Amino acid sequence: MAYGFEAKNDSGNIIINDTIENLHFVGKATRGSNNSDYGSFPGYGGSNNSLDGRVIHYYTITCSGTPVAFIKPTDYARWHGIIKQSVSGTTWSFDVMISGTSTSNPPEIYCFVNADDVPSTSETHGMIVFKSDGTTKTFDSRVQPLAITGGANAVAPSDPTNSSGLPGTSTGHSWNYSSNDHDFKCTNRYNEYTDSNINTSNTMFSCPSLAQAVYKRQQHGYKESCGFLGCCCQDHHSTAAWWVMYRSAFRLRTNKFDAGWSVYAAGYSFSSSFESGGWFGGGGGSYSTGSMPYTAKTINLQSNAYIIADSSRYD
Amino acid sequence: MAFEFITNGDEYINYDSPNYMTNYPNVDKSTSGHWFAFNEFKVRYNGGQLLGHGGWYVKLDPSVKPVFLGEWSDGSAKVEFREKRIDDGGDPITQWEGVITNLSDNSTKIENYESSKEMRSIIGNLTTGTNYEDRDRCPAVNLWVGRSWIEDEQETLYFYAENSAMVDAVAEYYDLPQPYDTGLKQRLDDNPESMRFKSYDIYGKGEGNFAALVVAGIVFENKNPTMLKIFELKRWND
Repeated sequence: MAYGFEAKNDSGNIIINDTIENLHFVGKATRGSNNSDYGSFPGYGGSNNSLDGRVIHYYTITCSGTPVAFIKPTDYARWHGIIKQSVSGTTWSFDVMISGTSTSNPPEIYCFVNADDVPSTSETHGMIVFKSDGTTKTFDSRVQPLAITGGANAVAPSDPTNSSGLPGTSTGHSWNYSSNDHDFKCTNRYNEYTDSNINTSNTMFSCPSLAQAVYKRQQHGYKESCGFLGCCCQDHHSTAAWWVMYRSAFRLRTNKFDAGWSVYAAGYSFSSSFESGGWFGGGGGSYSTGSMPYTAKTINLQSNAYIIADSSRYD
Repeated sequence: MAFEFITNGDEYINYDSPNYMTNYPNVDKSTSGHWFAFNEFKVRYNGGQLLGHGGWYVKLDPSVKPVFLGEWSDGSAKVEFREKRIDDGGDPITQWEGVITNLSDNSTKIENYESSKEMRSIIGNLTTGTNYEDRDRCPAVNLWVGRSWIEDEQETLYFYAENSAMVDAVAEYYDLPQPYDTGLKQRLDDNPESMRFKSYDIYGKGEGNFAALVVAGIVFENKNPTMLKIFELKRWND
């Protein structure tokens, strides 16, 4: 090393030097509106109607650089995930989804940026490490550098629903049959990772919510009524369909990091038709099943790094 | 002749015609290319007067699409029903609309249909829709099944006509004539299946115990009830 400073941890990994950009606390994002939904299938009133629900809280922060966001749960029993991060000018927006439908206990979002992007401070004591240009900072002890306390790789299970397997499509039901037989809740589906640094008081985490899944159950019903001597039969069709879109989400427990799922959107559609129509006969007869934006599957299911830190250092 | 006012009305053959396909598939060649009734309907009002009639007509050639046709008994109009899919903004249950043609000037208008919230719940476990609580609803009715409307003209609320006592109570409530004569009134009480629109599991009793849904409707113009009508749907084996 021709210049600068280098610090290593017990494993010999470099923690601070003149090339590694360390993250520094730039502030907590400001919470705005929220959207709560999907405690059940919208428009459906039959069996297996319950879903886990979700609230999306919208946050913003204005800062230079690209912030890395940490979620500090207020209610550690709920699942959390940042499902969208975007920027307009220097204002960053975060859509943070948590399980359940209660808008109480929203999480706090702690944001970290490179040392050079942190606003200047009047603090006169500390240590600054510069790049080789002598002006760009990689580390500044005066502006709360991020201290990572743990981390590993985590991945949600491939099947998000409490009922196992793809629910699929079935035929041969009676006309107008519309009874959901698949449990689309996802609270029991997660992989847990042991991490002795996690507590449910101060721990916050950062982990991308990349995996998505869409599951659908569809039931086709049919009845036939035939006319004179079997001539010219009347077809009756019905289609009932339930679908749920999930995003990967995470939960912190004492000494545990859980990777699982949370419902993002859901729907129910039903169609009953028959040849004939009007209260006294009349058009109709074909049927359609509608279409989802995706076929039922899981995508982007990869092991992702998560990191945890102690939020109390930045309060 | 099935129709008096519709063009080529003699090409539509109802159940009571001697040319109906009684000997199917050995049908009289002179009429084998005609339209045969699959279902017939009659709409009655004002003590059993016939307001209109028609049916679902098929050809023996399966490549020809059926038609769903009716005419007003006074010759003023005809109606042809056509499919309106749910994907095209249609209703999940009543997936049709009526194209009404004024026979004097060939102008057309659309009669739109929708099912009620309760009917959607009974048929498809849906929770969407309305039960028309904001309308003047007769308390004797237990199940409002839907509504139809012609823009800027009229609205019809349909209900499940469970028996004549209910229909009579509706007539009294709106101060309208009963829609049937004595014979049809008796049939409603004794054999509602013979005039049902469809059978549905209205009371949740399961397959084999469905109720025969006989439909009656109250027509409103400018929110004033103007007509009580009842529908008879006749099947070939009724």
